[in-house]
Amino acid sequence: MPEDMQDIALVRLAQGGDRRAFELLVVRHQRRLARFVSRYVRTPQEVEDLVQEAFLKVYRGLHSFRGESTFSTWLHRIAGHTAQNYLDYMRLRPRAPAGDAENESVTEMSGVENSPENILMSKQIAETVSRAIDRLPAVEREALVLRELEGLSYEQIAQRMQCPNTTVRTRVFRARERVAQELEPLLQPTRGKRW
Amino acid sequence: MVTTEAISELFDNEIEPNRLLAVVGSVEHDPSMRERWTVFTMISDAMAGVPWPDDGYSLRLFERLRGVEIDPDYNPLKV
Repeated sequence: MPEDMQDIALVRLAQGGDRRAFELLVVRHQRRLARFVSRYVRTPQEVEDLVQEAFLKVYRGLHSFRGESTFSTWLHRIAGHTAQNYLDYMRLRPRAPAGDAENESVTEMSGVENSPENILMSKQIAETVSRAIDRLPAVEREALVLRELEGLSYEQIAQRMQCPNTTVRTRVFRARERVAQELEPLLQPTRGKRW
Repeated sequence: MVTTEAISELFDNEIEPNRLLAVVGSVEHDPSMRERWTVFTMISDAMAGVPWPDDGYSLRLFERLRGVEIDPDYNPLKV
């Protein structure tokens, strides 16, 4: 499927009132959006607040998305707009007395995302995924990398690997399942608390 | 019956249109399908070097989304 069709099926469902379709889009895009927003603001709490604001605006204005760009591009534009508005507001607002500002920044810096547990968890997830991918059968690793890192469609991967589309589908799925199995011990304690 | 392989196809935007509703519907009714979508996203983000913060991230966002409706007159790029 060409890049401009990415997510379009879920967006159309969401525009028709299917909230679950929108939630799938949120889960898919929220962390990359957080990384984008973190270029504008410093603290984890500000990042999370702006990401939430962006998604609220996106949902409310979903009918205005016409597919002229990808959903991801449109989402990032709105987030950038939201972040810039916030920065402009912060520049113009009256400053608190020095003592209060110090306390405020300490509170913000101890936001959830920066906790030692979360930093460790992020690192463990990244390391586990990397190790698991190294251990995949070569054809499954190749299919997953072509899909995830080069963004190729199944058809493009099939041409590259000289195999049927159905084989690509199975290889990508099996690769994900093997990696997911290795992540299981890390994720099991918090099952049900993510979504 | 919807399988986790179908979730993988949906994740890659490769699901056939006539199966789309059933697969999205399975996410609504089956927590294991929601978990699969989350784990596939986690793998994708990890491969792209995107950190994965605390597990309540999505839930806090969905809580805020609860009170929001689509507004046909609202343009998010004009506010």
